[in-house]
Amino acid sequence: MTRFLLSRALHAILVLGMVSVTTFAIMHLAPGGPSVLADPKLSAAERAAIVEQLGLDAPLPVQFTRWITRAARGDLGTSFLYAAPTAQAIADRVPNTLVLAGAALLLACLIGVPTGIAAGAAPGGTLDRWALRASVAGIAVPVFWLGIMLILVFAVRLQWLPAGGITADVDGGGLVDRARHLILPASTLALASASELFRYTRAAVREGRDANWWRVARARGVPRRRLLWRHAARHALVTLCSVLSVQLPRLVGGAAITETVFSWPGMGRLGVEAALARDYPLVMGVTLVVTLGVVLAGVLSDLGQLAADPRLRRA
Amino acid sequence: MTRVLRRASLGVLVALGSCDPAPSGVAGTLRLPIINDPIFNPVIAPDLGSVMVNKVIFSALVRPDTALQPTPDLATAWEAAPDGLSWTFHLRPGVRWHDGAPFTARDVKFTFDQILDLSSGTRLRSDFAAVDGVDIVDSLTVRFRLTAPFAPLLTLLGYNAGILPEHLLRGQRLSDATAFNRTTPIGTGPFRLAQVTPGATVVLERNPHWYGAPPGLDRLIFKVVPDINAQVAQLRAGELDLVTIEPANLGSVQHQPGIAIRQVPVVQHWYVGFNTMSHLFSPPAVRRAMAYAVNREAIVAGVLKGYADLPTGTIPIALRTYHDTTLHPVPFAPDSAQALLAAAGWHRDADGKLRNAAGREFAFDLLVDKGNPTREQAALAVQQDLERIGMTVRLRTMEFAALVRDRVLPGNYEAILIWWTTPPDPDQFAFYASDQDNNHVRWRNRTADSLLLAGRRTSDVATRREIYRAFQRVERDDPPVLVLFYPREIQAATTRLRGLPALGIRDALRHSEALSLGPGT
Amino acid sequence: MTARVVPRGLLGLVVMTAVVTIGPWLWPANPNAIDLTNIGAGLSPAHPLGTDETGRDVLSRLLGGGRVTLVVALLAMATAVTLGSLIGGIAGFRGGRVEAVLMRGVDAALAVPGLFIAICLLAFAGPGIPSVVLAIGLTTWMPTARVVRGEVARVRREPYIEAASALGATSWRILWHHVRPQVVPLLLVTSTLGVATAILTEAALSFLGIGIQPPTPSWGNMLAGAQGTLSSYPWLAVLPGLLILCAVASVNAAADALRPTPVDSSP
Repeated sequence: MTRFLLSRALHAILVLGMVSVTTFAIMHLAPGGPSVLADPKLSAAERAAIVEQLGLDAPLPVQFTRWITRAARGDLGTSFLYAAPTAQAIADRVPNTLVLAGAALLLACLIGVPTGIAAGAAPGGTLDRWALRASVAGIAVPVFWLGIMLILVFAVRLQWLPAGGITADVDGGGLVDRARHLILPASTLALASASELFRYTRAAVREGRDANWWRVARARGVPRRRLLWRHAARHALVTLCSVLSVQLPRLVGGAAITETVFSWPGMGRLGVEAALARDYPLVMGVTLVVTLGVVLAGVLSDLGQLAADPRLRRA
Repeated sequence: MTRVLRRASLGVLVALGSCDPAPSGVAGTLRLPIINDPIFNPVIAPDLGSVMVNKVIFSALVRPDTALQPTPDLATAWEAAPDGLSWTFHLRPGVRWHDGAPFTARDVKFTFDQILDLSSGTRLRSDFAAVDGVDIVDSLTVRFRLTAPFAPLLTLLGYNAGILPEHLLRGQRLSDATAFNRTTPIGTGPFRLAQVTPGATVVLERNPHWYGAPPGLDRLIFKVVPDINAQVAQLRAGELDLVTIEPANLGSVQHQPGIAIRQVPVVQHWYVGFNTMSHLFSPPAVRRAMAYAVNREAIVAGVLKGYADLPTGTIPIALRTYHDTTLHPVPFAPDSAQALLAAAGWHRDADGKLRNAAGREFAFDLLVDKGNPTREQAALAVQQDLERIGMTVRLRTMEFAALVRDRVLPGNYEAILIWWTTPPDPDQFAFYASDQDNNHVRWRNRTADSLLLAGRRTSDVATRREIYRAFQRVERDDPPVLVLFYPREIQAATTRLRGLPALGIRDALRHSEALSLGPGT
Repeated sequence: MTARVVPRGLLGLVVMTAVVTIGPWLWPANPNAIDLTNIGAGLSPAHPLGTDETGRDVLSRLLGGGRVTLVVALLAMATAVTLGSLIGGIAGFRGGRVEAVLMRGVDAALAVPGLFIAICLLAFAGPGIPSVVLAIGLTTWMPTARVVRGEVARVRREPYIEAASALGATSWRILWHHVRPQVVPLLLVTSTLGVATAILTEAALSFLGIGIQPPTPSWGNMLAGAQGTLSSYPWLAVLPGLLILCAVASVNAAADALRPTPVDSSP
């Protein structure tokens, strides 16, 4: 176990290094430059003063060395857009993204996995056919379009749910209030993941049903239902863990769109805003934090697989 | 059912509000969208959202009335020296900062010391290029020293130059004052900061110690809603109260119960700039011809859905005092264009293309920034109209930041579709006088130079009006740019909103105390 | 998947490609010609699907947009598959330290939300088809790399490969003659899925205003552009939305049909 964790830590450092270098290079070399300088009214002297203040007058390798030495000490610099420490801007947003992505993932599992198991248990049945069709559509719908549709129906027309934000503007913040604000964005974000989880689970269950142990167990009179939920589901869980670790960065990326549509103050939107505005410290910071999160999630998923499938422990 | 309940409870609150002199709760709350977390510091904030919020929190020495003329705010009276090289401002006595400290001349001096010092991160230096320094005369009197007479001073003082508290910011670089800039700003405005939720809301509450009549709202909330379509949806869902929209969004808010649409001319002119250094565009006759060739009425009607005014020159209609109403918009007359071009040596060939004596085609690139449907559609219309008279126009889109840095500032383009938002003053010296920083079309006209200089140095309104009328006539014969239209800001608001002055939202927010909510209509 | 889905998915794809390929000849209206006097018009013989908010012919925009969308998706997929199989192939075939470094590269690329990188990449080639292709291709190659590496590494350890290697066959020969045939079927699946991803990514980029730039139409930017006029001209959003849905769904169905085993447990 220690060896496993150690090697994962090494991997993580390597991955973080690669991510920082590439992101830094791509961002600084991209034409355009920070939006804070994109004011045609700025005089040459004003521009020069701002460039100097932002530390953009040094050669790129120097800037990178400066950034990485500070980052290693936990100082991610000052955001151009927010005129505040990058770490603070990110820390403000992390909980919101975790709540949204977590809720979406939970929702996706709650919908995708049981439907997948039920559909896989009775291939070709009514449920299987309709769920399959729904999942095809669920993967194919552009996220922003789904979000805007949900807002128009549930917030504008029916007025059941709020159109955006995390809490009510005045006296908000209660649990019910937060949950009401969470429903639409979480559903939007969850749909594609739920569809994919459904398909993976369904396939894994079907594969399990074709396996020898299933036939043997059935022959020995183990009830079908118990077999399905105890064994086939567990089998599917191993696949799920690895699928989930791949879903995570996509949830954060997809969250950027969802967060924009629903004015949800999360990291995805922060990253997109930062990238669009070429807020170098903020893009670097967000990328670093997300990468770290994904790497950690990868380790957790590995541990999850170990727990779910004892056979892997020996490998 | 839920809706009924909501309506009912809203009704109760409105009813309560009307009998209670100091209403509390939702009834007195106005919600506006911004697209980004603001920086609470008028001197260093670069973006529109910050500018809007800062106009409410930080008062300035003066503020514009609905005719865009300066009226007293933190300064109650002022006078200029006869030579125009110094201005004395008498400050309002008894004003207190939101933290209770008294406002004095030291705060004004401190603010302008920061504005004039490039190393502070100031974004306002070029507005006050003519200011040499600010001296304290006594605790309630300041004197501005100028290097040359500068008539726009008063307008600019009321534009973005909110006054900062010296007692809180002394001794630190403005951009390093993170706590002040992000969470605890202190101003003298009619509303003070109550709460910030990063990325979500900025809640301002009524400042009970404000020096004017008590503000009509309990709260003013700025909500961060980055997507314009989401802003419109939230307005319709009753989660926002006042949104400025694009013409394309009109269909979503027109004829909606509870939403009223207002339009206000703003101090902008949208134009196609032709680089006069290019041999194609240096003759004024060619630029006049293109003004005839582009159907601006169709652009205003089709792209802007009528929410714009036809232009006569670079001084927009919103500058009521100075815009010359006796001039008529250049008509759409492709034949006149053709004749002018022929006189300039450009004839149509058998293939319909314009060519000169050397056989060269009249072909050029038209740049436009990407992502804005209004500009993109206007550019398409311009392209189509100019191709109809035989020009070859290649449309190129670029990211705005790259466009500004690589094309506008170095003047590296043939033609560009862009706009200027100017302070509410006719002074366009920086934009159209020879060799000025912002004159990126490189227009040179001696008569215009002397008129623009005279206009900048003349404080008397009547004389100034004559000067800028003469300037607008010069522009007719030698157009510096092809002005497409003067946009109107489209404000979609709840019908309950009262007291919003007929100004663009930037200037209207200098009057935030006048806003209130009444019963819907 | 079920046998019936197979031809349907492929059929849908073929029909769509055929229509957008020959469509502009059948309906030669200029998709960018604006007509400010005929805005948001309904169905008419001159404009069988009406006009949009600047009076452009919707049918010709859908046809032209379909071309752009499919070309972008195919090229982006090709970029991703080439890059992915190259990196995955080398990693799987070489093994050892090369593999370790390359696969950490894959991990790194997977860990970064592709959208941020795509936004910066888009600035390089300017707005236009090449930059969008590049931005999508360079942010979606990782699954291919993983699949190819896994398969190559598996094939490499097969006894007959080891035998060929012992008999003195060169690496390239082994790769070409023995490994390639095993990998291609899998590549077919990942590349088909790649097309679906690319179509949806382009739509997402368009929503953020950085996809294919108008006036050039794409289904993505038509759908994104129609969000502002949902109340006044709702049909402008319906058609591109439906087409994206159909395209992605049929591509996915085709991928399922091509899949050798029912589940792709690549990760």
